Amino acid sequence: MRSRMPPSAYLSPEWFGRERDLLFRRLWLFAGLKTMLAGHNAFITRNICGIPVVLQNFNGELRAFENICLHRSAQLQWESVGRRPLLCRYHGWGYDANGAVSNIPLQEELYRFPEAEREAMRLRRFALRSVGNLVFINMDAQPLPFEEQFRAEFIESLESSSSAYDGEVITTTWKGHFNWKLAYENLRDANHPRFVHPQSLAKSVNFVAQVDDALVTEADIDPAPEQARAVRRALLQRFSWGGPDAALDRIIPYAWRDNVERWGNDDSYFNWLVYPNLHIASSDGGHSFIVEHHVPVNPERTDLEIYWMTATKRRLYPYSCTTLLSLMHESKVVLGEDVRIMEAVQAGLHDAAPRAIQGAYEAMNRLIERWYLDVMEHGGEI
Amino acid sequence: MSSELCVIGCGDAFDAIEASHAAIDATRVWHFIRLDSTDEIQRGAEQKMAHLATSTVRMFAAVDAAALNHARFELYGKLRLLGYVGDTLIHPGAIVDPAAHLGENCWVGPLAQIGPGCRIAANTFIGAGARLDADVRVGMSAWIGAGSSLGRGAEIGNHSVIGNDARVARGVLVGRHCVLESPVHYRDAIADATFIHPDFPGTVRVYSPPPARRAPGRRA
Repeated sequence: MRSRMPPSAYLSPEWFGRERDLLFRRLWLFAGLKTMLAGHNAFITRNICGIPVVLQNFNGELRAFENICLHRSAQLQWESVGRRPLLCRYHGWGYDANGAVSNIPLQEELYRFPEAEREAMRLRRFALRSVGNLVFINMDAQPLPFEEQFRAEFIESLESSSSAYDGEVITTTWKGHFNWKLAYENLRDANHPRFVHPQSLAKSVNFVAQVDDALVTEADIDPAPEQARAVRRALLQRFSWGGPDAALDRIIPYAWRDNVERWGNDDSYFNWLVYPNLHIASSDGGHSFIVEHHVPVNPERTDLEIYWMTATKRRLYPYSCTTLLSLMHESKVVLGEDVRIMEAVQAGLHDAAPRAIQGAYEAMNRLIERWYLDVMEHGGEI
Repeated sequence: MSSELCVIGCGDAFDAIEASHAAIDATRVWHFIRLDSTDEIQRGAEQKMAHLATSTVRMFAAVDAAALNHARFELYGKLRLLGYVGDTLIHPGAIVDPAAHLGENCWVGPLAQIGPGCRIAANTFIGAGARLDADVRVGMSAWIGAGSSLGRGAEIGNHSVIGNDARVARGVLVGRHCVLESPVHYRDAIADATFIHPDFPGTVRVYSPPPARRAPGRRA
């Protein structure tokens, strides 16, 4: 069966622009970890869909705003992570938890804004939702309800597992030369580990690709019908799932594991796939976690923002940051193998490239393609 | 100075000291206790020195940069708590300015140069051929890799690792618990817990939550 996706979906800047407008600015997107926003005035900054965003803690309340001062458009917070009031460095304008201008130095002497005008000044605010330790934002003026993008049991699983993350986090960004969609397609392809990771992941975990006949039939209905909003949302919920994915033969008893409170007791490899662009895994049965955020930069570039953390510490131990460093080096092998293969796919794409041929086990990716193209071609509400 | 010294540990530094001990000081009585790995430190490696009196024998914990030098720190700390005093060892091929100060349990490898006014805190190892210009400060339990250079007035935080052939520019501050493995020229300040490694093109940072505030009036 030929894929419905044209090569331009992975190559075209115009297509990429439409994706931002029709998809990313409407969906709930991962924005950061709550533990990195601990304490009054803690903030993180992101660039989401080309818009600079600041997530800031106001006395325990998390808020998301466009990270641009209303006066001269300077970015309010400059660092990626930090702790300072929401205050512009250019002329000292300050903002409160509602995004209102709380202070304009020399207002009476130099600006002389009428009170009504000043009170109407507000930073653009985005909807924010915390799930356990994960913070999501939605950039739509009328965001779809979070519970309609993700199923209740999935939200519960995310909340439970992410609440087990320790606050000490190691993070880096990896610049991938591939389209962001290749990442979710690869992650939903359980047949690739034995070929791409024979000496790494596949040695310790046996992922079993399966065929769901009903799903195959459903995904093959063609052409994609223009979907009503409720149908679109019902389908969208099915693109995210998580939990134990494969049994682990054994969990190596590294000494650091005695120092953390393991999440659950299941000797499994856990995967959480969060559509469109977040992947979370625990490769050691809940002792540690990796959060991979696939941030689209342009049609052929995706930043992988990656966070590693152990489960919550039972006790402080002096070498904890080296534990994180070793987790990072370990998973870098698997991640590197995935990146290489996705870059190889991207490098082979061109405007006249043949569409991919998909098998029965790839029905979920086919279903996502159908939904995605419906949104991209017909627009309308998600 | 005690005439007896026991070197305990494993790895490249241990091997280098064992190989050159006669050149370092042929008049001393040297004991060497080689550990199978750093895992032994957690399993009571210090007990292997039980037959050596703290009053007559000095110790030297020789472990490489494993776990950001925490492995060496753990061994050194255990021996200090047992009452042993640490020594500092300087290879005869190294040049250490008399106006430099080195804490105990420091190792200075062959051909390393340490300029005037440098202050090297305890348990820091300086690799072969490293060059520390005047007034460099290095924190406790750090690792300065072979062939690296630290410009005048540079400061390196506790437990940090400067990789082989890395160059830290004059006056640059490198925070605590940093690993600078890429052999490049570091010209800007490096924040605590930053890892720069050739395998990772982006800077790697560790973030920790701020410590919980104590209730007013309560003591820890």
